[in-house]
Amino acid sequence: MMKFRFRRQGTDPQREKIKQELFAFSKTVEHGFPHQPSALAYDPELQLMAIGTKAGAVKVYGAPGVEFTGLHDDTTAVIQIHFLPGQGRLVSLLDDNTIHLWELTPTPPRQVGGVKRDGVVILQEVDNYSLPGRPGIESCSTTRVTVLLLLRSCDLLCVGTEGGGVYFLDLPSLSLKDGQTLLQDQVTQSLPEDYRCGKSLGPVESLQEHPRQAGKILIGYSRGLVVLWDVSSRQIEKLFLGKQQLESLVWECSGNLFVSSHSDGGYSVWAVVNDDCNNPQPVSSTIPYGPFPCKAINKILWRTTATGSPVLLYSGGMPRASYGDRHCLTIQQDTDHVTLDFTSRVIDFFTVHNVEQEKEFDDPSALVVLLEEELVVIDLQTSGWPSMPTPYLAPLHSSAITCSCHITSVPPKLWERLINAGRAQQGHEHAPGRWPICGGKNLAPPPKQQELLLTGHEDGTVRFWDASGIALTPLYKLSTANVFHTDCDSCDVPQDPGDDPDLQLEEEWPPFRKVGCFDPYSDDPRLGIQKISLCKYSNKLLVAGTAGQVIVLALSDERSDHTVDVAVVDLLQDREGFTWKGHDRLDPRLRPAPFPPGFQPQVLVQCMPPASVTAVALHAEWNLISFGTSHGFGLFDYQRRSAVLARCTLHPNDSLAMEGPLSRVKSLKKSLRQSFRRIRKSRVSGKKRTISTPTSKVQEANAALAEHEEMAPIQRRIEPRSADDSLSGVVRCLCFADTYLRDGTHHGPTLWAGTNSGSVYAYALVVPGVGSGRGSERGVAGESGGVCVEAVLGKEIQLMHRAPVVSISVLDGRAKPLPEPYEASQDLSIAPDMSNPHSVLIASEEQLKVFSLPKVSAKTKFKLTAHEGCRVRKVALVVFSSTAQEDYSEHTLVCLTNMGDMHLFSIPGLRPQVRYDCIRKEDISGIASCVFTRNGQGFYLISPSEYERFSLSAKAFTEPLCSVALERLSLTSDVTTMLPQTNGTLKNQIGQAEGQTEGLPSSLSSPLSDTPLSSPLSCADVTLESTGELTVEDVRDFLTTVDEEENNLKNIQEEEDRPPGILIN
Amino acid sequence: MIFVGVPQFLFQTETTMSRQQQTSFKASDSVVEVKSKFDAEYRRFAFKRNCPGGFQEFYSLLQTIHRIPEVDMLLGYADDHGDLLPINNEDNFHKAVSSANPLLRIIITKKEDEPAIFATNSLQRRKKGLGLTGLRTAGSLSAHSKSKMGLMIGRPQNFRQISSIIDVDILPETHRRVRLHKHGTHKPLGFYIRDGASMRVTPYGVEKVPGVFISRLVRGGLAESTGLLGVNDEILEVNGIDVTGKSLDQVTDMMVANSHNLIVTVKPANQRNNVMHRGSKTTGNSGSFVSNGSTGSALSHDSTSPATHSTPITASNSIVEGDSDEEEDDDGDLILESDCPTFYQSHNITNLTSERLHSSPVVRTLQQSVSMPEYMGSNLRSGQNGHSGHSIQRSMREGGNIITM
Repeated sequence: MMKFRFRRQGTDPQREKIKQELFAFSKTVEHGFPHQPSALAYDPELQLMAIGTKAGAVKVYGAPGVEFTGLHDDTTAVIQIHFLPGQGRLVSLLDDNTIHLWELTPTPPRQVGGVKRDGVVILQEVDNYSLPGRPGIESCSTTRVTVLLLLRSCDLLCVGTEGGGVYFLDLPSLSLKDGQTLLQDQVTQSLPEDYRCGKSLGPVESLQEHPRQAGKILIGYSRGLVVLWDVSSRQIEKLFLGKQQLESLVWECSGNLFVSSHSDGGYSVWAVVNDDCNNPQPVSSTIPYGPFPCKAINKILWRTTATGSPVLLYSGGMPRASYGDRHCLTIQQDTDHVTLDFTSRVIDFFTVHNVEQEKEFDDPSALVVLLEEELVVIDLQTSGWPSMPTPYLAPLHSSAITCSCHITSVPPKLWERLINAGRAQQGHEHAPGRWPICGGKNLAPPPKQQELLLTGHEDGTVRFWDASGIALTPLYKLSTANVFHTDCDSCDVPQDPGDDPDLQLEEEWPPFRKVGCFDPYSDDPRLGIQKISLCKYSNKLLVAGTAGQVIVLALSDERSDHTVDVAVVDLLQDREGFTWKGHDRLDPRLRPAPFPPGFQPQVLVQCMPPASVTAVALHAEWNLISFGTSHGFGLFDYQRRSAVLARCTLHPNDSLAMEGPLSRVKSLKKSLRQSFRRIRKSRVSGKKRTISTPTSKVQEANAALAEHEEMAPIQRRIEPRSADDSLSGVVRCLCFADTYLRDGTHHGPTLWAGTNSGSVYAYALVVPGVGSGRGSERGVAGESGGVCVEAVLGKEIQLMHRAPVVSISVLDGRAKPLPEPYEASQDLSIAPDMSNPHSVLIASEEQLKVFSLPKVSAKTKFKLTAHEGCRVRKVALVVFSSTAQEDYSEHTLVCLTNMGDMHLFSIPGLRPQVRYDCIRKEDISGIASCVFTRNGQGFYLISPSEYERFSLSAKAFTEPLCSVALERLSLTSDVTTMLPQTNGTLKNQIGQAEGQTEGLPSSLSSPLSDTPLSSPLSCADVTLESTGELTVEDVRDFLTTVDEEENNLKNIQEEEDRPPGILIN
Repeated sequence: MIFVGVPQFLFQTETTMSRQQQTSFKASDSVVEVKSKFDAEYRRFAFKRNCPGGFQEFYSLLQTIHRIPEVDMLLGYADDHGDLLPINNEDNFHKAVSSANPLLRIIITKKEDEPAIFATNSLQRRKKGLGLTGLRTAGSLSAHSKSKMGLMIGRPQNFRQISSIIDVDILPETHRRVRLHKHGTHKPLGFYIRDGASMRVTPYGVEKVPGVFISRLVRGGLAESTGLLGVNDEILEVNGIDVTGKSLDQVTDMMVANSHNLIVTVKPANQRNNVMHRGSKTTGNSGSFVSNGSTGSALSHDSTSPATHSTPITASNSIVEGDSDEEEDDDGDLILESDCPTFYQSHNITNLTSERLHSSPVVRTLQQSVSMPEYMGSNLRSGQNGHSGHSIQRSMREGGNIITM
């Protein structure tokens, strides 16, 4: 077993220091909309908004870029949040009946990434409290908290309970004021006999403080009774004998009126007059959507305006039968009545309005509605109440995200044009109002460069996001649906002119208005975007989708009506015996269609069979695109609108690939087996039942359980991959490179493709006017050859372990990745080293390997799966800059594995550098969605609607850095807050930057370790660098060169002897 | 080291074949010249290359030509590397014909006679009368004839190594490190693994820790045919890497990634077989155990003294050691193998159908020897056969006997 004893070198302190300067892992910020929000609060003084989630997170938002996150110890749903206005404190109520106090706490000044930060503040839990049960009463439900109320004085927290009692807690100590508790009995005693009728008043449904008279609170009980209670004198001021089940209460700002909403869908206005008699009747009572039974009005707000009638806002109350399933919120003022119709449930809402006591009116300026899937803000000052674009909390998942792509350092020109295109789109939809929630100040320096995040969606749209800062802001939305003929637009077109006015004339009741952009229903799943590639210099965009559509788009500032050219590429070539059983291709629109400014489609390449596109590559400088599906790959010259190459990668035995996405072969087999088992089982148990006696039933149950367990154990078959594994032909990656494929002296354009079964095809391309290779020679020889692009199969590599090829990239003579198209020719980056031999880095799911070019002999390798038992999922070549030396940087290979950890390798040595745990291994969609930036950051989906941003670089990270002016006794003004955050984890980045691992406050403790986990092999000296090593791979060379003639001959023979790909590992 | 009956004509012939074909097709016309030798007699004849007929035809043709109609004979031919290779079924017959250049040299031996050694460079070695193989065969042959079994047992060289027990000297007795050679065969590795709980003795007492176990062996698979792995054996290491703390999927991936040269360290569920283990320990040579297991045939077992176990440094032994040295470069030797599998499959089939006489006893005896430990564990079977009370080695031999009958 000598071979297993790796030569372990003592860790080189020099290298360790450099590593520390280069690499550091942190999760910095969450972009998007919190998953499953459950509570909302607003601090009108600090202008901060807080959202609680079902996972127990509390997120505070202010002006764009101002964000704080805290996480409760238990992942219990946050039911309510209340701010202590102006104090930077908030109280949260959890589902487990505990009350927690949070605080923005300053920490001593520290050095952060080389920059000094003063008064760093983190959001942390300072105290928690849970109400004790009443002595002698077992049931805890009586003390279950239903509502919380913070008095304006901020020193008292009123707690309404299920049992109808109201408790008072001192703040900020969170201690129960024993003598103050108001139990229901006390209230019942003062009730008139006829109202009492021996029944309980029910839980406390609402607590509201009098707007003018401090210390007076309105207590609403579920049965309908409302009590005005004076806290200081502990007396009932007034009783309002409501008969209808109560949902919520709200004061009018003068304190003369209050409004109650009820479970029957109605609301009542009550007058608070200074006389002694109890008010049995409300001033008015309305059921707005009656007369048929309506659903409850869950919450109601009454806001007065200087201009006239008050604005009434309430959620719910819809007619039960006809619109009971709608998620609605109504805004009503005089005759203006709008029913906002949302696509997801209303969690809570508030208005932004005047809070100064002097002001006579509320004058609401905006309505903020938290829905299950998005945040909607309505401008209440502009007539018509238009909705406002949100600068953050964007619902990334408005249609499900199917892929993503990140562009670093976007040229200013492209940025500007994108913003303009986006503005043109938004113009008619949104009001240009000022964002109402603007607390705190973003102190982060303006981003040095603009970053774009592109997300592809199931509905065929590509969304462009500004990912330069903390707030992920939507810039522009591109829809590819209009390239095709879809069901919806075929019926829309004739309707447009005539029918619309009619529809509007016809008075619809309730007056619905669709608001929000969350739309989980896709018109046609075939429109879904699978791959995106953008050339930031030429503004060419390549988008490929589920039905084999590949669209080349170009940026244009003018609206254009044109037909999109369509080309069909048959990837099956002459293979026979295959039938595609999947979906049909999308019908391209044949008539000219209008395309708004922005990216406009130029060419549509349709792959046949229309299987989902699995890989694309774009080389705008050569005007070439390449695309791959489960059947093969193609090369297309979009300038000349001509297909250059189509290659089928199907294995002859691979029939499954032809079944399409709706394949039932596997599941059928499984289900058959299961149903047989079920039959067998039922027979057995049926027999038993006939003779069963009551006593044997337990045994029977046990036996059934045992049988179940016996059936259940998870087994894994240990078998090497065989050539005829299903879907072996899926093209996993494509790559263009200007390198040496034919021989060591002539470089030229090449195309590389890797498949699921570990095959790599390398084509030498002849692109007119490019390369020093034979292209130029041939240009002289034959004029016809010089005009169009040609592709010649150069090499075919079969990786012996047959694992899917995840990525291919060519390294130049200095072992640096080749620059992107145009970068070299326009002097935007250092020209690649063409004088020294190139190499190609092929990453499969199991191994990383560097081969020399043009001979394709293995130089270095790292067998990740054999060593660690994990498989490579995502790979990226990343530049890491040093924190210590300004000009020092290293190219590093970053690998995300199926275990959710990040492995960093040096190139071309492929030596493990560091390893970090990043994503939970169970989070398959998170791992699948991960995308890396060029400078060592990355994104992955932590929920359908949220991207977690992380950084592997010690230098480049984007994190919240903001200040909030706090008026708290203990604190003086302006403290800088800096809050790196994660989903459920708060990371003390400062500590990390200093190379320390500091214990975080317990409330924010992180399950993940801050320190880089060094891979078990990271310090092992894996000596695999042997240049002359006989390689595993079967490299077939199709380009005859003198020195490889013998090799070729042998290969040709092999070709004849056997069909390609029966190598058995 | 365990061998299973896949006769020798291996990649040596395979790889040279294509090259030969190229040249021979060019050089020769459509006639195969045959020069056959029986004892001291030579016969020369020719037949058409494209219609050589079947093996049986050829066999009877030779019988008639040499006028030995009633004699059971073994056929061998010399390929152009000078290797003496057997002809005993359609496949290797056709191979022999195709390798004729244009001369095909056939060597006939009587079945009762000492069998020819079909092996790499066997012709040359024989001529020289030197070398380990020669010595060894001579020695073993005498032993063989002494036993008077009249058994047809293949030479180790005739078989391809598919598995071995390694590192006996450095592992605790309760553990076993098994190496499975997947390459070249079309057989599946043929086992499944599962999660389970393992008892570990810790300073704090016995603890249950999660472990990975073999859950199932596929009939006819490589794992089963070696007899070295069993259901419920706990997997401790995969190619030298400890699997503690690794999930089932991780272990699966590691095994699949190493599948072409899989080395698993197991803690066998059935520890009774370790009796053998201790015996080998006393000899102090891991190799001896290997040779015991591998040569498997009755040869070395005849002598009851443990000394004989360790004396011959057998050829097979040296192969093992050589292999384990090269293990670092586990990929290197794979290219050659890559084009065989289709052939083997068909060969095995024909073996079963047409050549039952020759090959099947060989295969079965060896399989017997492969599952030797199990055999010893259960004296039942030998007892049933009326051979109770014999030494371990005896029962081994009897086992072989029974099977062949």
